[in-house]
Amino acid sequence: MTFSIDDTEVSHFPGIAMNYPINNPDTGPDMAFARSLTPVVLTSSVDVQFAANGDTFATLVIRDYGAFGTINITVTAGRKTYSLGPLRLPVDNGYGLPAAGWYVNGVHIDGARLTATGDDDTAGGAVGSDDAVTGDGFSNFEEFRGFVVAAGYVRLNPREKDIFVDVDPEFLLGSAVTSPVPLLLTLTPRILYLEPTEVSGQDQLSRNLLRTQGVVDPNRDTLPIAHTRAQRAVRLIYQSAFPPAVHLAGPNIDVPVWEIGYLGATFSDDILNIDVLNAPGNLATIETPMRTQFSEVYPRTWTNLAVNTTFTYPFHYDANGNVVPRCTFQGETGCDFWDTTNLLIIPSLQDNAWGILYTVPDPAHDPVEHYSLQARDCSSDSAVLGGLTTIQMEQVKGLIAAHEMGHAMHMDHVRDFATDCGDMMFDDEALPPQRRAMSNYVPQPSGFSANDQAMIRLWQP
Amino acid sequence: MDQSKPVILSIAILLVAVVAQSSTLTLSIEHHVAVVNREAQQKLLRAVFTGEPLIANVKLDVYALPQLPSTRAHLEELSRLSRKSWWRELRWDVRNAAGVGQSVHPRLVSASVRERGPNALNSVDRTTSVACTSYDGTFDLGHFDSGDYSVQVTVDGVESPRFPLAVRTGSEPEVRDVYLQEKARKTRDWTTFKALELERVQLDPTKAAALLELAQRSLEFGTLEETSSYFDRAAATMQQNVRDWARMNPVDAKKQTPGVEKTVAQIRALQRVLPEYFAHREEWRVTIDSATGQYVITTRDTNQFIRRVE
Repeated sequence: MTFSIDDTEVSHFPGIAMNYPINNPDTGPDMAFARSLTPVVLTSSVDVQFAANGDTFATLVIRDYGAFGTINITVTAGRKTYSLGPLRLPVDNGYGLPAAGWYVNGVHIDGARLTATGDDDTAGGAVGSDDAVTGDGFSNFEEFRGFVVAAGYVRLNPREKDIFVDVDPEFLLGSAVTSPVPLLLTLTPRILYLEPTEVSGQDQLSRNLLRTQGVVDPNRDTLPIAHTRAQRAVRLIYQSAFPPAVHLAGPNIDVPVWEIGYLGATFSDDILNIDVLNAPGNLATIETPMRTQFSEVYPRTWTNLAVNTTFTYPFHYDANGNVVPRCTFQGETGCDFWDTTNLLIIPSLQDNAWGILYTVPDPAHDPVEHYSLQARDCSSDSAVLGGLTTIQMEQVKGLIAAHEMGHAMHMDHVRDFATDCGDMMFDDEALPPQRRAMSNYVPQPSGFSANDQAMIRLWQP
Repeated sequence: MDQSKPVILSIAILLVAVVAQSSTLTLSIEHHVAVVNREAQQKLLRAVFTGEPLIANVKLDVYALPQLPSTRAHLEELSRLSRKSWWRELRWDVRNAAGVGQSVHPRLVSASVRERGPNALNSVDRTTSVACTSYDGTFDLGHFDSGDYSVQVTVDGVESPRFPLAVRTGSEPEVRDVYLQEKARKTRDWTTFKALELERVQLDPTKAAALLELAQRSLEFGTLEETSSYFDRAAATMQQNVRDWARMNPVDAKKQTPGVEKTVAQIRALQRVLPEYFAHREEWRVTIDSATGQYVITTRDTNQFIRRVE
């Protein structure tokens, strides 16, 4: 009895899953018969003797989570030969997917009417008349074939959007108030956290940017796909040491982003120069994950905005323990401004645009002291005495991370102060210091709004 | 048949060995930023001047995250670090542009260790989702000769990113403006300040920042005539700069132009009250309302509001 697989009828997908392995994925046949299992010897054709009990079998080895192939069996009895098959495995639904469907977290996915090249995930909160309202960038076949996520294997639900994220561990290390994780849970799409080895990205070492433009389905050659572009992870980088700069055109100087109060930024593929945010040739565009390189959060900015104090202690100190003088005139350097009305110490603005805060909080002398920022209230648009509280400042870390990740999912700013203040994506994009943005207003958002989610788009032609 | 495909799928769940990522070790070095042209593109140069000490901050967070199993790498070795002398275990690697290792003797300036986590004793330490030991150290690396370097620190198999550093004397054209600006920022002497800022303008007549800084300090120490002149030149140069910028990056210029126009309008308004201000300079000072960005005049002794400059 001979079991055989026609090499032209078996899949040869790279690797074994959409993102495994990332490097040098093998493109050999995805099904083979085992001539021996110890050691493993594989073959396209194997002869076996009839078993005495009538259950004659051969061992078929499946070498890819999306493998398919056609098996032929020939039986030779005396001088006659009988053919069984061809038998396609897995049994096809007629559209390139298993008729039996598959399971995701114990839930059966009915594959009866799914096509392999479709991208049928429901809108999941996205609103609009364009095609990209539905779909998450993966074909139904890619979702069936599955991914390696956090060192385990998963298939996906082709009717619910999935978003892969690759975040620096600092964002997961932070407690719930500083983390974007609880905020991302307010999104309808499912969020999957990837290990660094599960993304095929590019390292840009001049700013220690690792795994930018990180593709999550690199093993898609010869697969039934839905989109020309590969899908990328939403990449969030904790940029503590290598922030970019901004060119201030009027004064004609370049300053690091933290000196002008940038808390985070998202880089689409239209940002060609990653060192200077607004370098000639760079275009600030909002794109889907497919055309977004990465998002960054700049922790240094949190310690350069303001210090809340009661001014009851006469001296304020820098990080080295030296007294920081109070600025006495506009543009003075080496000192900080004391806003005694709002109980804040703020940087002395240089060139009416940028500044360095020297004072560090000193709770030993004034228990109130903490890093803060000039905040206002959504209801009255009036200044909040002392700016943000300690916990609100911590929450801004998670909020900015989530805000930037929102941009990477095609969410733009919502700009109407009357209706959008307090929204995760609120920013009226006015000029500083009149600019009104989510980070400067209370109450703070508790998650993404329906308006934010309406803007989600996960793929583009 | 190709036998190289490494994994045979016979079970539903695959456990994959991941390459070690680990607890986080970061290195940052205090520096100045200059934008330079390299290979027809603007690049950031992280510069330290030869007269300045190299101050490095090392931060090591030791933890393991359940969401990222790879963070467990090196945890055992790292958990054995001594609270008192952990910094002695750091290995410094300084290389010049040719990749040649440089001798370095870091001097510890300060060090601290914090036990953080959801169950930390002090509420201020409950800032992480899992138990985390945070080591923080500041080091003086001394003075380096002029040149390009990269600095890296490692401990128990964990590496920091390499920090690229350009050590310069301050006379090099690509960092001269930053050098002068930094010296000006540190001096409180008007004559020295003026000389430094005027050199910036001489080297680059489009450097409106220097003219604006001159004008603002001149409000305190200069004459009425020179103050007004600096403001005039600053305003005109800023307007020209943004027009030039519109040719290089029209979209960004559109965003920045209203801000420049507003600053110029404020300068013009301030110039109109300069004679009155200079007549009262001993009692008055010019400052900025942080909420509106407008110039305001207040009294020097009690910070009493005199007028908004509009």
